[in-house]
Amino acid sequence: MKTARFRILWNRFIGDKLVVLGAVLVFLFLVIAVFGPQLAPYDFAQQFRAAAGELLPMDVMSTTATGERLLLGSDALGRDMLSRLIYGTRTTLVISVSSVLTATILAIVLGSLTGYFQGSLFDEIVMRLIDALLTFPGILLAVILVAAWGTQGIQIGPITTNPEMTIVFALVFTFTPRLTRTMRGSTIPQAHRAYIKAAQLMGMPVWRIVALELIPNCLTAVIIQATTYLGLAVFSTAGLGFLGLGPAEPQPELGKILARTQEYFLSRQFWHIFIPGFTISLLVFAFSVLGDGIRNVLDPEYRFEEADL
Amino acid sequence: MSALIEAESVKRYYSNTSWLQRLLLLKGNDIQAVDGVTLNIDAGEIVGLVGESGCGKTTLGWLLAGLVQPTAGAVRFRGSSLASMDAATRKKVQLLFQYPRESLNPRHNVGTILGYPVRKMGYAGEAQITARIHSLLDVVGLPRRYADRYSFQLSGGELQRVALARTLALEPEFIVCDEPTSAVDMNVKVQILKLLADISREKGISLLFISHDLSAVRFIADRICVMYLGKVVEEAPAAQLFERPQHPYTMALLDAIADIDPQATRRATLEGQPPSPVAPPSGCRFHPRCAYQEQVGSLCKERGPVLQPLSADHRVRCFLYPENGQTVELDP
Repeated sequence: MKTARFRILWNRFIGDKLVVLGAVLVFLFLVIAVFGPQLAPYDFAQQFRAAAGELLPMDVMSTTATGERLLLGSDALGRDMLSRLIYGTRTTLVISVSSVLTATILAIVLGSLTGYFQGSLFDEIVMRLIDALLTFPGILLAVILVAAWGTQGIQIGPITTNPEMTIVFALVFTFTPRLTRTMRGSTIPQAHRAYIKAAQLMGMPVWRIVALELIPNCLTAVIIQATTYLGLAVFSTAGLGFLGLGPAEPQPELGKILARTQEYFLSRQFWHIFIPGFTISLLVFAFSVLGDGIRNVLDPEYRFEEADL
Repeated sequence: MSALIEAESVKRYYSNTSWLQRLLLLKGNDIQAVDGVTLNIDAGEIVGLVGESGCGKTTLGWLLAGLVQPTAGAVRFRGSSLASMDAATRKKVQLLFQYPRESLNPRHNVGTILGYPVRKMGYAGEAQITARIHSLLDVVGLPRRYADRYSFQLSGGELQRVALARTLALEPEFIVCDEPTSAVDMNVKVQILKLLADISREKGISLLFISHDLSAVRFIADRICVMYLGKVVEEAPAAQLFERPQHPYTMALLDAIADIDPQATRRATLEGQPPSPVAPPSGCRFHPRCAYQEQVGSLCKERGPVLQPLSADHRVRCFLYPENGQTVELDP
């Protein structure tokens, strides 16, 4: 039974060629992120010179004064563009995936509890806090939070987090409210169903009702929303980096790389802008298309009928 | 002898006050779902509860099962209040839901659904638990291989049997059956009713059988309560209620059973919709629809009758009977 159900969903997933393209692209990006240090030809902070003393960006396949060949040239500080791009993709991916993952887990916990205890004081407090966070449109909250916390990492007691964590925290604050609302919304109708009442009558403890009876039946909507947020998270991370709120130098990040290239837009090296720009677009495209595919598989509107089995 | 479960003038009102009304210190009209019901059920007894949709049958059932708390009055099980009961005794009161598909988690298979209450009753170890699950499936008449099935693979009748098995796993003494046969086919209905009656008699479990299906209630119940708009209007042993109904509403209900003989006399015909429980009629709640109201006169509109005994085991709430201070000759 399980295998038949899986096969139907799998066929639906691979039936859409665009979705398969998205999945392949996401896989390639993940490979680049995981094996970045092995793939990058040089260190992302190493500076090269075109000739003695000169630090200008170099053209495609240019050779440095010390004889290294740079496939995509260098940035304005003479650092290898390809290596920075690989490390930058790694940074952006780690930030966006971990922020969406954290926000989703938080949202599942908060949303299911507020939904189960709908109307209680706990529900009122959490939801009013979430309403307050929702008053900030889009990425603005993340911009404010990173600006307030700084890009050097946050000090929590004796621990100072690494700079990327600042951005992860900011994005978690941005994504969690919306995901929580979705989760609460799908929990409430389930919480009133008879199987939950039956569990209460059997004397099942609350944690068990919420974790094992309720949550597995309420996940569809929040997972669909989370996958669409992956593309948004890449966009937001790059956007923060572009605005100068990315991880501190010399750490590369796609948005930061893009910001540095715009200085050359009107020069002979204008094509520099397309390297990080195209990478960001491709990453967002890959996540969006994959998100669509996952929605097609999970969306209750498209769910298989009993007759399918 | 004290009854197994006692409801003492229980009321359950649902608040109908909106936040705006509350802000303006206004009081909305409460829905009077159950309005002062006293009901005792003895050990091993099967009590039928009948009435139209919206008369408060389900709410009364949920009150007796402890699923909702009474606004006023008390529900006692073995003499102690349901609200202040320890978990182990609390489990002895269970409820069988109207829609079995709703009452079983679609993510769990039958084995998992039954596994939880079985473990809770102290069975430990795979072999012991599996053996207990199999014996429960035997009791409700399902093949043992159903332990691996999911709810969407089962029919309505099979699902209700699984729900019953889950209830029986907790070894209850009292089960509220909330219209357990309304969602299944006619032939399955008879099987489920027989199963419920057999189990009740074998294990000495008391049942409150809620239904608007009079034939089902007649089949299974020892005693029947008729409810109208939150109040019990008549209470009698099953056979007696069907042969000699006393309350005009009961007569109307029995007349509503499709009759083969077109010449059969109609004692009372029920017309219109039941009034809203938000604003129930003055006096006797049934008077706007009652065929005998003309005969009794304005008393019905002015004062509410009380539930009075006609004989040792027959109680009725109507001014037609002398105990209520009025004697009216009934037309033959």
